[in-house]
Amino acid sequence: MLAAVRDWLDERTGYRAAVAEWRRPLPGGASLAHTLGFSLALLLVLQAVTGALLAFYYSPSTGSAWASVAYIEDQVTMGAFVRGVHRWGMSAVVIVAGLQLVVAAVRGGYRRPREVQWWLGLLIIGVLVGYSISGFVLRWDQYGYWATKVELGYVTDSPVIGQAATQILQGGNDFGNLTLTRFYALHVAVLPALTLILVALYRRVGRTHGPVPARGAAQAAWPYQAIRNVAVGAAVVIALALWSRHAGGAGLDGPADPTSVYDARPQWYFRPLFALVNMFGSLRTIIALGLPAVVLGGLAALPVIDGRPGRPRRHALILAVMGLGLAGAVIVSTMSYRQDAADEDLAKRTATIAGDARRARALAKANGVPSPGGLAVFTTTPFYEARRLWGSECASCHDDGQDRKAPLLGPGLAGRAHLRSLLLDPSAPEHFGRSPKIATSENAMPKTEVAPDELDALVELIYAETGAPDVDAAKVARGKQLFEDGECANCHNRTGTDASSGPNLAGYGTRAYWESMLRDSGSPHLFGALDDMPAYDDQLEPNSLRALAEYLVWLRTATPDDVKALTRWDAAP
Amino acid sequence: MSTDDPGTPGAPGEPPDGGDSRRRFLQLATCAVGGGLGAAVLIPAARLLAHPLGRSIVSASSEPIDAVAVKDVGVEPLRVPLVARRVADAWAATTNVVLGAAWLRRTPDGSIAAYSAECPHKGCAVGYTPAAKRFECPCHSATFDIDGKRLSGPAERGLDPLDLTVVDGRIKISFVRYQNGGAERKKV
Repeated sequence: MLAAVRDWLDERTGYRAAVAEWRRPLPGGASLAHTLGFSLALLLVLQAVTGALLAFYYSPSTGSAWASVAYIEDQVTMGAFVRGVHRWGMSAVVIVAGLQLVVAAVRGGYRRPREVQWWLGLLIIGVLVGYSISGFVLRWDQYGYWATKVELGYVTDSPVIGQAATQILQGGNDFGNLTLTRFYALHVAVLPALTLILVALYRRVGRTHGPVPARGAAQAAWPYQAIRNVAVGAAVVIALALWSRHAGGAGLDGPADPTSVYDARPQWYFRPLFALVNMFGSLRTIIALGLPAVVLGGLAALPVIDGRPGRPRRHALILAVMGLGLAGAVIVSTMSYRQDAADEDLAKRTATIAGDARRARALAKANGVPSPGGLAVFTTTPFYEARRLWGSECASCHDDGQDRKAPLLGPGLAGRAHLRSLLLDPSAPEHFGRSPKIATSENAMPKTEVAPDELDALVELIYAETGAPDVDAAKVARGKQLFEDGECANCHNRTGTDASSGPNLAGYGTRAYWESMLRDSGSPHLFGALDDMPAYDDQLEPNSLRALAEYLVWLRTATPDDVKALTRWDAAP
Repeated sequence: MSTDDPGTPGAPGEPPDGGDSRRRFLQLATCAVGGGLGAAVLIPAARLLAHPLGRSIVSASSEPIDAVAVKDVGVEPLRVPLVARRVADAWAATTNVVLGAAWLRRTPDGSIAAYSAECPHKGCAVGYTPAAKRFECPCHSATFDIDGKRLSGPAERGLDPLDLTVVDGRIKISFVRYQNGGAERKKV
């Protein structure tokens, strides 16, 4: 019965012939060198699978690219793992493909009759490099954005076609939505199609002559080569997963910021080129474009230079040149990495970039990314609108600085320490000492000269107006008495909205209080005729007034570091 | 790769040390390692793909949606779009997103009734035909009377009513999406 099914299937698919191929003797026997091809194929399949998985969540537009990648990295189940494997999988592909190239060269794999296979292999490596270039821009983070800007800069410098090629690649005059859709199309459709075609050709050609044989006795590929293949393949995949874990996954910078200073550095496999380009400043374009052409051209010419076996000197010379080239690449890369490692300013900038990334990703995870795209995530920073208004409307008079013309408003505003200092010396520079009208008025508030415990009680009384939860009721009661019996009540009301010569202190430090202060600080129950501040009633929307007032309330319990954490983002649009 | 075809002992290419049992062991080992590799890929892949399962990837802010002024609602049904102030959609924080539409009408007793415009059959948007005084679904011809009761067609229940409140003369609607099909209303 089963045999009948098999016969039926074989008649229609010829599967037995395909299976038999694996049972055919492999000239030279099984070999570890032969596992490279399997490992590369396995890695490419892994790249295809992880790439397809990422495509389930990725969105190629300037409004959503970074946000969707941050979503994959920080929220999707296994997202960071899959991204890590995909990103470092590219590095593994470069290593294995490079090894295969070296092994083939050592074994004379470019010689007759394998020249075409050699050339196809070089073409495949070219396509693989294309994945790296087209892949990183898709993140639309600082790294992907700037690395690709630099790469396209060299394309622009190419003779004759430079300008046109750049515009075709990036989709117009500048980086934008078309850059993402184009590189995405290249990365997920065009390059995979090219890879499939070239690999199919490579395998078809390879069937005619097979790989350069190992030196042992012939063995069947199944299972003697197969076991080596899967063992090495499994080792490669495990090493890849471990490395990705060690490296912290694929990583993701903050959203692409065209205004920022970013130290773009290439992937390690382009590092030798980067190092050489920077070593020869004036020749940078020639090196950047010429060197890859020379290396590829040289490799492609090997079948011509050393086309038939039996000339060991020539082969040795070729291997020596390749070895020197590789050693040189390692040396200049190491120098370049060392130079970066010793650069303290670079370390500072890198730390800033890393801080941006952490902050942006935390905001994206907590609040989502607004539709304008990556950078807009910073507008979800707490008090973003208030800080923006503070910068444009308040800072010139109320922030610490030479030109301050009004009380300093900062962390601890309306807190106990601030109130104590205010009561002790209302005309100090940090209070009303620089307000033109109050400072020169005869009606300015005098220093509060009372016993320390009485001052405590008065501070507590006003502090209680803010609605703070940690109020000492006994002190407040005492303060109330002192307030009414002493001189305070001569100028200040503490209830309702009645006018008095000094500001009415009812609800001092609450959102409603700051809102009414912002609307019109010159109203009779506030500063009246002594007022210097513009009235914002007509100038700001109710929402804006409210946001500012909420910010002022927040200042009471804020520390300078808290405020700094907000100001860090004032520059972001 | 089929492993149950018996190999041909002593066939050319079999090495002298390739006894049947060793070969058999290597075949099994190859399959085991290969299977392990496959599982190592498939398990994370399945988990990643299943991420949206049971999660509210798209969620609107829960406050009732401001729809229309009370005075604009008459006895003739009125279609109003329901625009959520904030919608979280996977990675995006979006504002003013149209979630759906509601039909509003003043009932004979003077109160206001609201129905989701989503047909309970397959979710097409139902329209109102003034001449017949009934709601009609353009997709599969389900019809409902002016009170949303099911008249004819494939729908198994009437139009889904929506809760509303009136604040300062404005109608605020709590938008709920129910599963399509079935006589019972189950929230999506």
